[in-house]
Amino acid sequence: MLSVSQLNVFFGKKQILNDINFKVSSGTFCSIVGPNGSGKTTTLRALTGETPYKGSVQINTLEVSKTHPADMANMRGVLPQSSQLAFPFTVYEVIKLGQLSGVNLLPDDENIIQSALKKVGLNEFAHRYYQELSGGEQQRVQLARVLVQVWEPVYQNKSRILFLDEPISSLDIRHQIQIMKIARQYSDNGGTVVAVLHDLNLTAAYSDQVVLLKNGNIYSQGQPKDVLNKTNLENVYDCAMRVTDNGANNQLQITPILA
Amino acid sequence: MSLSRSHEQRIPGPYFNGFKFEQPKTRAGDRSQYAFLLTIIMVFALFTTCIFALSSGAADVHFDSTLAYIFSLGNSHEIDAYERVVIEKIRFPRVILGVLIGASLAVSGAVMQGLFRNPLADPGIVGVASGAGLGAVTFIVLGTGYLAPVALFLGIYHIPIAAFFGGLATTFLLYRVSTRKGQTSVATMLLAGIALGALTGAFTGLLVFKADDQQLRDLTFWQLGSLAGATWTKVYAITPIILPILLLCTFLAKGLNAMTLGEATARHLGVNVQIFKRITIIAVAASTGAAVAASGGIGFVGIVVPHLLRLWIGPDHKYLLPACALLGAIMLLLADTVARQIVAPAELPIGIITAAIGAPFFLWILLRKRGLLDL
Repeated sequence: MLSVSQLNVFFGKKQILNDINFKVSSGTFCSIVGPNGSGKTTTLRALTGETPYKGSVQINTLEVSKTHPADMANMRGVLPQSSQLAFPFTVYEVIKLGQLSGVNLLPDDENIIQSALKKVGLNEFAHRYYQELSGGEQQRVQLARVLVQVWEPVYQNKSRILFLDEPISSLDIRHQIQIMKIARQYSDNGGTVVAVLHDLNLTAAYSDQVVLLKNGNIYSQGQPKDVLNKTNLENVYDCAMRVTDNGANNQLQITPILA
Repeated sequence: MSLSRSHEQRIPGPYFNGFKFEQPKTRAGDRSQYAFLLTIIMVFALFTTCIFALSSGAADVHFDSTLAYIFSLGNSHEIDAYERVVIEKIRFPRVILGVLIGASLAVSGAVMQGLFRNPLADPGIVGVASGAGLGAVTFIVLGTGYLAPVALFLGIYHIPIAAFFGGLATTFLLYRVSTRKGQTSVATMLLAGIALGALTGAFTGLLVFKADDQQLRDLTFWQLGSLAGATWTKVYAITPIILPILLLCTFLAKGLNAMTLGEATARHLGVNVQIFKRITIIAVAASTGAAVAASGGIGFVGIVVPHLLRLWIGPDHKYLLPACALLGAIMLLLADTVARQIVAPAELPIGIITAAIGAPFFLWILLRKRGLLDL
């Protein structure tokens, strides 16, 4: 359970986020969308405790800025936009870093690492050096590392949170769907997912809840089909859109109208 | 090492239905077993190197006598008085000093590289050793004059302590200058290191200018780096600093591993980054300070040893730091043995040997890893 109220973030005197309020209940997949510079990544950074904020951000009733990093690590995992490694770790060793926090039920368990590798489809890559992989493969390794950190979606009867910052931007379409499915599965099993996304179609297909940002404010929030409508999207993205509801599998199709 | 542990069916709790567990067949990409093996081999290698270093040198001490001395814990009657004096008063403190300093140089190099996320960070290169040197020189020159009361009060520890504060100040400054938003720029770090080195060099120069003849001779030898002045007093002075720091460093391994992913991710993994950085900086400054105070500027051990070991056993600090301590000790002992033998009965300052091997190695890393280092 994530609860954000009166969240304000300033960089110097410039206000980046303006009174953000939303709640994500356990077992929910929540996507944060909006144009570049609308404050998506800043919001995520405030929620993960990376950026100082005013207001309140609570994960399972713990205030993020006042909780020890180790206790936070117990409750949530964070996948950054990109990760660079300073030293020549193998893929296996990178994924094992997820167990650093030592908070899993089985902190040393080899099974979790192997399963995470398999989950992201990199079990043949365990021995390779991280630096030799492509950007997309590196991103999947990092996801596996985060999964290892918060392997059980529900821990001590509390829903854990997976924060994903643009997890699929550097991936091809097949792997985009693979990652979205893993995240969806995490929330289906009781975990909570908060993802910053650019792809509106995948957002519509996989999320339970969407937060649409514009200029550091929440423009709209709610279920995908309510938030991602033509009027909202055209106002926020300043671009003509066509939104069709494919009734068969309840999937929105969002395409820009090319002038 | 829990490698042979069974993983069968002990998985409690609400589980991720979709996440099937695979029984691990191989552990591809895991180098921990290899690291463990190499560490054991190096323990024996270090022991052998110590015996070799004890029995070689300008004075003729038979190999058997050294062994007899060690295995009787110094009580053997089979060795003559001359050999006993050479081993006990000259070579033993020197070997122990070499082990401590070699271990401390290599470990502080590895720790600093982990903190700065960069394989070129080394106390000797980025000005920390010069800062520690300035602290030490201050007391060598002024310890009998203005600072005499302080020196008297701190006893045998006054030079290590002065070196510690010199090293601490430079490490702290360096980190402040070269790190922005948790990212360290290699270029800024190296440039800041040059500036700090020059600044501390200027003050050291001023003190050298003030020094008298005897102090000058001490300073010159000391600045080149040497274990020649090894005495039991020096061993007693630095052991209580270096040993606890080496032990402390094993507790830093987790945090250093997390830091390789960047400060933000380290925090996400549960490391209290601010406190961790402070402890790390103090540890590096203390061990560099102690090493510099006892032996002067011995360069490049902190670069070469961690780099070689990362190639062999990988960068996991849990294995890297103990391995660095062992290999650092072995390398420094070997270099010192060469320094004592090569122009016997005179001897070369060991800093010349480590620099002659280490500086080309440094250039080689620069050439090979330029892409990786983002230069």
